[in-house]
Amino acid sequence: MDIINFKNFSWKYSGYRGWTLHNINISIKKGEFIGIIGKIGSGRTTFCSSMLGLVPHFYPGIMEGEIIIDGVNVKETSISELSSHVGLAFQSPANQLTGAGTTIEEELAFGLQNLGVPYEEMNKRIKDMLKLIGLEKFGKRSPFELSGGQQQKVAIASVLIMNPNVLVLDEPTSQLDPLGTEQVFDMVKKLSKKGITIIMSTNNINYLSKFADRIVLFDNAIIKVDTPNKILTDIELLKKHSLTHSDITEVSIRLKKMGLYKGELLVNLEDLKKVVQGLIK
Amino acid sequence: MAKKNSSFMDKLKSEFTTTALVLIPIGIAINQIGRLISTALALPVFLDTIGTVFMAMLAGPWVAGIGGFLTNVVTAIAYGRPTSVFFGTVQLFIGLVVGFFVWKGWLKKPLPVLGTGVLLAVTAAFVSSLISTLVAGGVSGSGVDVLVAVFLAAGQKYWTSMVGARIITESIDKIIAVFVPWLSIKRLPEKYARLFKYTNKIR
Amino acid sequence: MASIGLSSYVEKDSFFHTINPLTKLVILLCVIIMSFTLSGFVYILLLLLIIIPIAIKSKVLSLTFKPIFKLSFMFILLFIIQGLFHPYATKKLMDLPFGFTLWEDGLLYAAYIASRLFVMMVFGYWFVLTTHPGDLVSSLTKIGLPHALGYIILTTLQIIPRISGQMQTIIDAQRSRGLETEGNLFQRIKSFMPLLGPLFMGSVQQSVEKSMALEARAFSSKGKKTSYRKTNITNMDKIIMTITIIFSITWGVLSWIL
Repeated sequence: MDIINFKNFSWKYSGYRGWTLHNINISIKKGEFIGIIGKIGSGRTTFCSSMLGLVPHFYPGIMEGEIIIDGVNVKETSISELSSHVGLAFQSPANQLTGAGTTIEEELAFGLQNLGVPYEEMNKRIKDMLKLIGLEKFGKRSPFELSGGQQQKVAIASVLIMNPNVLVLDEPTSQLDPLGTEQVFDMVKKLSKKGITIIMSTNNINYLSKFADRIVLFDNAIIKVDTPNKILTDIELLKKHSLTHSDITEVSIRLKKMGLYKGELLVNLEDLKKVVQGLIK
Repeated sequence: MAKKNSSFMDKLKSEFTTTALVLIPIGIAINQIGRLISTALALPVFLDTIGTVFMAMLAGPWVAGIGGFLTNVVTAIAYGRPTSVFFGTVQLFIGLVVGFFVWKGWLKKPLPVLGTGVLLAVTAAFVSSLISTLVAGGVSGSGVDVLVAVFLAAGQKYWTSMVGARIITESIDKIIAVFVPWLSIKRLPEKYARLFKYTNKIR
Repeated sequence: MASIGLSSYVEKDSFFHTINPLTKLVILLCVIIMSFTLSGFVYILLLLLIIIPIAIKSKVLSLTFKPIFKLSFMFILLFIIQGLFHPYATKKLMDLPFGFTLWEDGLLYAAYIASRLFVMMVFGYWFVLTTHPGDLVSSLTKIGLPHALGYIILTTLQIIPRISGQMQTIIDAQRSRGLETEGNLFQRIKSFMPLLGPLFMGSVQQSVEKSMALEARAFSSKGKKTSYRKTNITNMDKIIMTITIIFSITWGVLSWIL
């Protein structure tokens, strides 16, 4: 069953000449994990924003086509209504904290208060969410005291708590250190396993190769949609769009050059392990 | 009559978009760190209206007026200083005046901006002399009190000293407070500028 | 206990920490009104006799009087300005050297203003020491404060320390690069524009991102909103409010007929 459906969607920001996104057509199934890649300015952020309706409701501009998500038409639905269908988290952990909460619990409660969720229900969901992000003991702490990675987890949890069926993450780790990045990626993996549909924009190819079901390559339009193995090992394609392939692919290229390996290029660490183990034997 | 009233309320509400609301805490923060900036510039003033002007140039008179006033409400809540609320009137006034000039499209060139700074200095001097006399017997808890005392000791009349001392400090303060945000907002990237209703009035 | 941004709140386990913020607000408002309307400074100063036991019960006695010491210089100036230069002074107390005159009505006026400021500050500081800003906003929202205003107050208290930290970093960085702090005003402003530019630019970007984050959490939702923080008005609150109001009216009337 499709949970997301883009039909001939195009978007132009007012004051700008060209289309930031042109003629986007894609269907995404419930529970899928979609990785979005592309260079800076390729329209990935706009694509992510469009699912919550920031485009066209928040930013002024011209929209063509149609987006249907979780049974609702984005163009005809307000952002606050959409927030119960789609959760969006983005780069800066600190800017996503509302600051209205003096504790992590209150920060998580913010969206629920706005939706008018009763106290008991709020309390239950907050406890569940704190457990999910592994901060059960920190509920009464100030969110401003957390590390970047923890703040980002709180930011993701604070939209997830509104029970959306789709979670959109726009470069959630680009401002984090390696440890924070790992924390966030672990959390996303967990959520994906729980069956939440995930759309994640990131150029961390190693991570996507492991967990994404499909990869979408953007350059102001959808250039290609395919499995991680197909897209992430297409060195020419990646290079053409200013992206670099993973070190794992690089190793498999070198092995090939040395005549030690004859198969397809690799992007997954597990696959590479098998090849290397075979070589050692 | 009632209809006219409600349309004014609707207009007022439409000024307070989410982006404008979020701008208020940031504008207040800039007012508060004005002191940091002025120390760095080696100036004897507070620069505590720089954020109010910033709000006025992005989001117009109403947001800036209320945001400016809230600067003092927040100070009152943070430090338990009820008197600071009274001085919020000065902030309210500055927000409204600058916002009104922006709305009229008068602040596109540097000269009127300079004029606005002078005008604000003079009016702020009168308003704050009045409030500080009414509320606190002429003191305001800042460096200007010393200057007022010097004026008085030199034989000047009470009101001349109050307003005169303030005009001196306020002119430096307000000219900077108007120019600095103005120069910055003129250079704002288009994508962001479009999200604020009033930026096109000064660019 | 971690501090809440800019707020002076001190977490303590006391009776006055647990009562409703509105009750404390009623006390504070009554004191402010009294300090403007009582007939003489003695009546105002006597209000301090009330704050002392309250502050002891709140476990913040010494803290409550702390801001007064910080502002003692202001009080001295007040007595100088009003005692020597009161604009409408008529009663001479004594002649001073260099042709100055000390005025009796000027000093009385200074005493009146000083006690007003003193009492307002002490009660005001006691209020913020014992009231969690989150509770204050939540209790005010319940009686009709718009949610947006509550949001502004809380978030401002929390982001100011963060933004001033960022600003201090920028200033230090510029300083270490040998920034110009000399020359005339316009040269200094010019040399500081590269410093202030990023501040304003960053502020705009931050407000755009923050408003997207708020939208993502149904901030603009039109329906009824709920509160996670619980603040209830108990019978005890009602009793304290009633006593405060009755006392204030009585004290006000007494000050004028005695």
